[in-house]
Amino acid sequence: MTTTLSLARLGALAATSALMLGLVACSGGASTQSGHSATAGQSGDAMASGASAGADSAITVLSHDSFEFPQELLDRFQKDTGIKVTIQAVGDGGTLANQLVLTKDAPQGDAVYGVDNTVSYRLAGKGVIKDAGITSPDKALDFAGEPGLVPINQGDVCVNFDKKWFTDKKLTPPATLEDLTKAEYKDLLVAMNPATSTPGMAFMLATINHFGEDGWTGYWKSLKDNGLKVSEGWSDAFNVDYSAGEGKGPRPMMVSYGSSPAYSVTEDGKDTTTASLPATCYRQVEYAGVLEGSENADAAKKFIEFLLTPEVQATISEITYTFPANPGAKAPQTLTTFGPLSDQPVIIPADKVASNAEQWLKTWQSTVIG
Amino acid sequence: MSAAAQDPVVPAVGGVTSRVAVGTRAGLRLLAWAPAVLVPLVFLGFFFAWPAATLVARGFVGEDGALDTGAFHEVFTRARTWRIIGLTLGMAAAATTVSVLLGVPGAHVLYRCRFPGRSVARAAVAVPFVLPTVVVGVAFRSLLVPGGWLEDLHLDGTVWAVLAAMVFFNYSLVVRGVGSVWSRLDPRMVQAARALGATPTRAFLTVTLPALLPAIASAASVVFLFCATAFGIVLILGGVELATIESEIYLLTTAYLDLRGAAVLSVVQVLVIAAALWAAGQARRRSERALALRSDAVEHPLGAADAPAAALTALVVFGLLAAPLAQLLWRSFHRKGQFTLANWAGLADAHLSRAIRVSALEAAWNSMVVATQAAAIALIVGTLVALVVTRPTRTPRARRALAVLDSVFMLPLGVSAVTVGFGFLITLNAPPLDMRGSALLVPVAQAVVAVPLVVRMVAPVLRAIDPRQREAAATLGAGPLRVIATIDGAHLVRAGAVAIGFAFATSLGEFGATSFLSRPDAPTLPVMIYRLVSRPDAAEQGVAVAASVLLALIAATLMVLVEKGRPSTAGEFQ
Repeated sequence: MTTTLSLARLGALAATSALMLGLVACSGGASTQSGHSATAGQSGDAMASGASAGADSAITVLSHDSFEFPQELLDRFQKDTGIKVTIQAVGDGGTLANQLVLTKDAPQGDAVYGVDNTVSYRLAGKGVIKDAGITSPDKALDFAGEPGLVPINQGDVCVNFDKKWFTDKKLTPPATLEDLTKAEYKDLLVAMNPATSTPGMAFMLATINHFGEDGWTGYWKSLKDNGLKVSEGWSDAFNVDYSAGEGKGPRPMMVSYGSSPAYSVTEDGKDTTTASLPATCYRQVEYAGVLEGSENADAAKKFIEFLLTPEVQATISEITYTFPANPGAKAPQTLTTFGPLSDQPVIIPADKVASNAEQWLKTWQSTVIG
Repeated sequence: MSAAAQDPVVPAVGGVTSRVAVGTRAGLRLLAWAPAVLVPLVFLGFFFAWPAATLVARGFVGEDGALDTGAFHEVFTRARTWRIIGLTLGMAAAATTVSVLLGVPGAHVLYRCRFPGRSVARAAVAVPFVLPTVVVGVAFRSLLVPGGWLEDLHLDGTVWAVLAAMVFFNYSLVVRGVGSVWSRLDPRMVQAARALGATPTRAFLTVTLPALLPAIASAASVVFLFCATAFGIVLILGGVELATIESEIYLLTTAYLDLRGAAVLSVVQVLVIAAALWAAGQARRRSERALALRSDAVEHPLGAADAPAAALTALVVFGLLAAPLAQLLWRSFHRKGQFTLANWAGLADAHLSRAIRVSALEAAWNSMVVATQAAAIALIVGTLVALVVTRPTRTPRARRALAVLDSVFMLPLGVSAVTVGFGFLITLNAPPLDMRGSALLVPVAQAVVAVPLVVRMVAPVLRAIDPRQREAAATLGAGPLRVIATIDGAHLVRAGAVAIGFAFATSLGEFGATSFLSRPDAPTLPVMIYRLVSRPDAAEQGVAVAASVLLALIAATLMVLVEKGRPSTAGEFQ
């Protein structure tokens, strides 16, 4: 009796294990198959089994995770040049920059796209980026702090406001950074922690530039006294606090992107329900570069030059809702109409950010959080 | 870390050797156990200790390659460091206490009582465990801010909101961990106490509770670890003022690239975790003894005597767990304030976002595949560990060795996911282990996190087996493997079913390490949700919420299946 039953149990155990192993085997097989196409540049096996792939024909481009390049363009690039490109997303912009620094001895790819000037200082002088001699499309945007980084696209981080909320309350929206500390705008603004959010960092830099080394902490103190809410990241500020966000939160002003109003265009397409304050904008530029450890630097360079062609620039603009770095390329109509670039943006060169960032962030923390 | 993880084992094996080398039979037994010890050690050595130690070591090496421990002084003279250590311990202790106080009655109701809808209730309780923290954080905050359903409580940004979220995520660990032992506790002891005149309360306090203590201590230690290492909910719900050691490591690594500061805090965190484990181990050992476990469940229909526990459990399930989930569900049917099914339709749309080329359904499939692999790895490694550390020992030395081994395998819970993720990138990048781009990288990383959970779910059950059962089997002529298969095996299948559910759930919801390692063409569902929720488009926002609800549904379904799929053996031991 005992024997048969325990055998039955043993059988159940074996069956369970077999099932699990079977599942692993199946799924493993499936993943490996699809993996071939994606990781051809990384894995020797994949290359060996690829039909026509040669040793110098595949590159991996590292990027932040809110960017993905249309496959059609990658296919065309491959057709024209024989170079197969894989885009690998690695976390947000800050994580991407850190990862490049940490893995510089064994880089995960051949090129990077999407390091912006609020985090590019982390790469400065670290030997991560190779100066591949790519011509910059706009010298005015060359403030990444590291020579090999080429500007690809640009946008603004600005204080946004909910137009309807201000109309309903019959309140004039603020215009300047100074206005934000006025009593009539008490408890209306949500900003992000600069340590955990790139738009948060951009806004802090805008205030530092505007009020100077001596004045900016005092400004943040008055912002705090005026009921500033600080969120950890863009998502929860937009989803919870902002009245024009998905959560219909209580605050009608939020630090966000200059392009955000283009997302809130009314159904007839004639107007937008939000707007940004041009006097509060910080210019954010995204860069691309060839990685120092790349064994395929020429192919990586070709791809970045491809990114700078007017047609690809226009596509990137459409995907990221930012403006092209190449003056010869066009941004989408909705964007130019409802989310134009500020004509008075603040810019702090990355080398200045590099030498001060840690101190500024710590000062911000002790001023605003305590 | 590497040394800490491996050194204690050497004397352990050596100690056993010297003792048993006298007889070939004992030698053979050792040989049989060697793979059971080696497989987990090699696994954790390669995929946890080495990567984490390499990253931490970077923090202590200056630009010139020389050792530099100046960061210790710098970090420990910051007032903020001490405030954070205090907050970490305080919040974790409070959340653990509340989880236990609420979870034990929950275990009674869900694992000892029979009532319609029980398996659904059991599954529902486990749902929060898998949800992405950013989405739950948004749901909690949406309830608490002005305009939210619970705005009158004024809890947004307070420590209470963080504690509620910690209990929300970890309640099920106590319910399941304690419930799976409780349901098989021989009821005759309690019946005897009652027959001798003890009140139900007295019988519970003097008979049942002591028997449950090891399981409670086990569950509490996991909950404590999860709370002490929480960073997502602390970042989102704690505003900018509340912090844990883990959230500070996350900040220092990802925001400042301050590896030295992060390394110092990683060491502090490991020490704190080790101390907590030691304390939990002491509590467990003091109360530990073989229980008369039955391999069938002992249940009774929900009765009047269960009313207080049932009421409390209903309050937790409907009040604490359901409110944020309801908020998510409500949001999944709304876009720009209008009722719509578009978010759900969007789950199948691969072109929804220009930023991501796969649909949420494909991401869900990826998650299932990865979670199956991760759960299988975790189950194999974790069960081996549990079998080893629960072996009956004869010498104090062997007992100590096993206790150390037991704690070592818990350490992955004490090291930041960021450390593990970055550690993978800087170590597993050259032959013989060049795993860059490998499809197994993500499941392996998730399994590292799930192994301790499996050990904690399986070990208390194995420990509670009366050794006389094994001895009886051996006396009747069963070989060692046969003893494990017949005696331990029966309990292993049941505990394993619970453990596999949780390993699967851990993997399904894991984001920290996965975000570093997942491949662009195969994002998991949480990675997809995080990407969508950080875009301003209403459609992308809405689909992110619907995808979170989908994730919750998948988790709940799997939990129901695990419940139903457990072999029912009632009556076998008659």
